[in-house]
Amino acid sequence: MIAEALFYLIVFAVGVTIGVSIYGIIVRPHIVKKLVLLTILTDAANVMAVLFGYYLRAISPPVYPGGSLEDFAFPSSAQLREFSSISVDPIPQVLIVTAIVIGLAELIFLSLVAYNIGVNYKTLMINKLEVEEE
Amino acid sequence: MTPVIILLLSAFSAVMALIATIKIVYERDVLKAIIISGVESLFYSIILASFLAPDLLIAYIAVGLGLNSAILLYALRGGERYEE
Repeated sequence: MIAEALFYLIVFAVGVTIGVSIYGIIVRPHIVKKLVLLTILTDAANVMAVLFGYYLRAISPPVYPGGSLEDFAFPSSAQLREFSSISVDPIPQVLIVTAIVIGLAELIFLSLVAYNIGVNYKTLMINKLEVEEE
Repeated sequence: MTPVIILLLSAFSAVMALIATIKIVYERDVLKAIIISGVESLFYSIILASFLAPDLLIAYIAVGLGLNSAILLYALRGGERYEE
């Protein structure tokens, strides 16, 4: 009972974090602060995906313990069923490893764009940027 | 069954990450905001470790605390530090 309540509290806090970071991206004018809040949005979405793949009865990470070599390479279906009843779902974690790498590449690209804006226009505030008329 | 103390630690970390996010939104010094975002990433790493994803813990400590902060500091070098 109290475990489920705490789990829903964690899901609620992470969801509110996603909402607050989207609000900050829209409202704040500084470009680097928008990037900071974008990384926080990525982090919160990844943690939310891990929470979706979690079971409260799980006690083991999704790594098959094995034993002898034959047990590890050719496990019987009873052994696999017993393992899957005590471990968490590995699919969201695998997807998140991909998402971390893609988020890092995206952050490097946007940081270079922001750095060039700061060097060429001498400001990083969105509301102070002006388009030069020709 | 997951022990309650681990869930309590995770709930504390989630609430602290939420507080850090609100602090970042209303912080005028962007350098401080970058450092607080590193702390927030550390709290999320605690949540990942207690929800049985130790491989993501390793990746998050390296990327969230080290690389993201360094890249954002490089981007901040071009313009002004304070908002408004």
